[in-house]
Amino acid sequence: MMGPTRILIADDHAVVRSGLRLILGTQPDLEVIGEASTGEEAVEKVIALRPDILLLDIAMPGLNGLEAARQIRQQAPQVRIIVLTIYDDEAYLRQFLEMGAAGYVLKKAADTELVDAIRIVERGEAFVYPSLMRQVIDSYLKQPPPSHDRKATAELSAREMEVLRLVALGYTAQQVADQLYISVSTVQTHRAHIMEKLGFRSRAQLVRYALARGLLQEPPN
Amino acid sequence: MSLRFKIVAAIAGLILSLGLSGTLHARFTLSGISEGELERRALAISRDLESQAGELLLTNDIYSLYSRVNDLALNSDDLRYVMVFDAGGNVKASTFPEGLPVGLREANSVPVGGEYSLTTISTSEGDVLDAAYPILGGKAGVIRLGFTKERLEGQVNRLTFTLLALTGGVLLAGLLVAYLLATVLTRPLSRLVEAVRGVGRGELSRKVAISGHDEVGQVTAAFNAMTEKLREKEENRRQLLAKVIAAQEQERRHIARELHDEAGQIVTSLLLGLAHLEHSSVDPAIHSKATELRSLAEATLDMMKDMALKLRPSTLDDVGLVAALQRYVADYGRRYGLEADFHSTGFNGVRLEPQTETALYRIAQEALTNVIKHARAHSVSVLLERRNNQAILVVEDDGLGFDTETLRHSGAPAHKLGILGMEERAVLVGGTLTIESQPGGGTAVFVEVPVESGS
Repeated sequence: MMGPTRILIADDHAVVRSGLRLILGTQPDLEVIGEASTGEEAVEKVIALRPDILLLDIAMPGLNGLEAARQIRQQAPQVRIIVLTIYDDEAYLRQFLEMGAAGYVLKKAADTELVDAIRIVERGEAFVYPSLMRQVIDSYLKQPPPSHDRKATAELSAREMEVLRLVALGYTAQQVADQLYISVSTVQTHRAHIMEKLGFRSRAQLVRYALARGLLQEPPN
Repeated sequence: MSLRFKIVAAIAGLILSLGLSGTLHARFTLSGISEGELERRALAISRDLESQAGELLLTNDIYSLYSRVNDLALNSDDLRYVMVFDAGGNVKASTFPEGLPVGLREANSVPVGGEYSLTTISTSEGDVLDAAYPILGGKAGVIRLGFTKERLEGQVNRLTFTLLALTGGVLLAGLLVAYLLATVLTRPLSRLVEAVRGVGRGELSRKVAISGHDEVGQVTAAFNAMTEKLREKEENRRQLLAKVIAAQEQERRHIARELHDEAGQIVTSLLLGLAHLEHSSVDPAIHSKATELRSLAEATLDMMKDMALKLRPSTLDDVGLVAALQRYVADYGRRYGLEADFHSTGFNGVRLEPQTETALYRIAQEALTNVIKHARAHSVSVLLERRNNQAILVVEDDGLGFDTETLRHSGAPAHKLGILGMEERAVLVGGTLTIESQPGGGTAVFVEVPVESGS
């Protein structure tokens, strides 16, 4: 029979660590084999104790969670890392997932989700806190669809394509006017036409469109 | 009117008035002298002729009288005519072989008891000085002599012309000298004016070469000292501002971290403890109290996180500007119910200098706050682009817009200060801020900041 899952807790707050012990203590098949209060200590103990799972806080004095995770991934890649944090920002999640973390759990939901997360990660799958999952899906869906209405490009005149490119590159109307030797009001008119033809409302849409069309490469000088 | 013009005009005026008044005076004096001279000659010749004519008339030697009159006329080239009348008024001899011109006889006469009479007659041949001289006190007749004034006038005119020509020459030379003088005087002044304008535009490092120890040189030296002081002041102000801003950011970062990582952790532990109590308690009273306290702790935690985020998002330090701004724009759109679109290109995980990231984040925040306060926009775009050695931030809305010039001069102080604050932030990291807006045409705030090139 398999032994219990061996867990290391890395968090700089003693109250948090004891709270986690409390939660995990109710599960007979989970065993907390050690605690670390800094990033450096976490790396040392992971190497010494070889736990199955590391519960890792992001904000710690000294070596922070991200840096600790990077070192652990290099030195003990078999250890599965679950980030346990109060940061619910997708940007952190993305960084840790890129780093190879297997799970991302918010502390405030630790009592209900941590045990599930450990079991899921133990199986080799990934766990992400559900409310963060929503953000991940949103940002995934926001990527421009790979194929756009190609007809629209054909409808733009050569001059309009030039204006579109420069506007998307972040030039001011004055700079666009200077580059194309036309007046600012002509630039505005072209731009209004482009927006109308493509059915856009904002500059960000123009940028994404221009990017998808490959218009944003600077021409060689 | 330029100083150069004034100097040239003053000198020209001086030369002209001196030359003209001198000429006039000389002309007046000379013609007076010459006229007196002519009159004296006329009288002397008259007297001379009278002494001979008296006897010749008494002896009735008309022939001698006639030849005497003709000799006289031949020897004096400005003597136009000679007439000798007897007491009865008959012409005894004259230089008019064909008879006297009409009206000449009556043109001059010696008054009763008078010694002689001089008068000027206008004739078809110019002015003539006519002398009437009685012979033997008038008992024997009258001599009339006529001297042309043409020669005399010619002399005066020649002198006048010479003087005027001289004046003209002096005037030309004077103008040249005045022009050179004015140039020498005004060149350092022009340089100074240009420099003053430059300082007015904020170019505080301008220096003007000192041209000498004269008054202009002193003004230049004072000007240079002043701009140097201003530049120092401006430099100090900038440094102070940078320090204040850095301190403010540091303070915010610190408080946000404390809220999140210290207080937040404790409240989280509280939350977990209460959750444990809730699950493990069999007493329903304790269970419901634990549930209540737990939701309270959860609300507190959310509030603290919100506060920390508003102060300074930790992602700005830990992950980067792109992530922090993306989050901010998303929250902003939700909170104020408008289309808020964020897009970034060219970063690919590359971080900028911390001050630059902070500056761009705060400028975007301020610009977005202005959109809510003033623009009444339906949609707003935030773009972050990194290309070559530049980072570009664009915040653009489709709202009311405004006249940028009007705002600069007479806008609401808070709005003006907000824009000034954005500008200062941009300048402090070596960047520039441009606002393009027109009433009814939306507003776009552009920030360009130089960053290290490469990836």
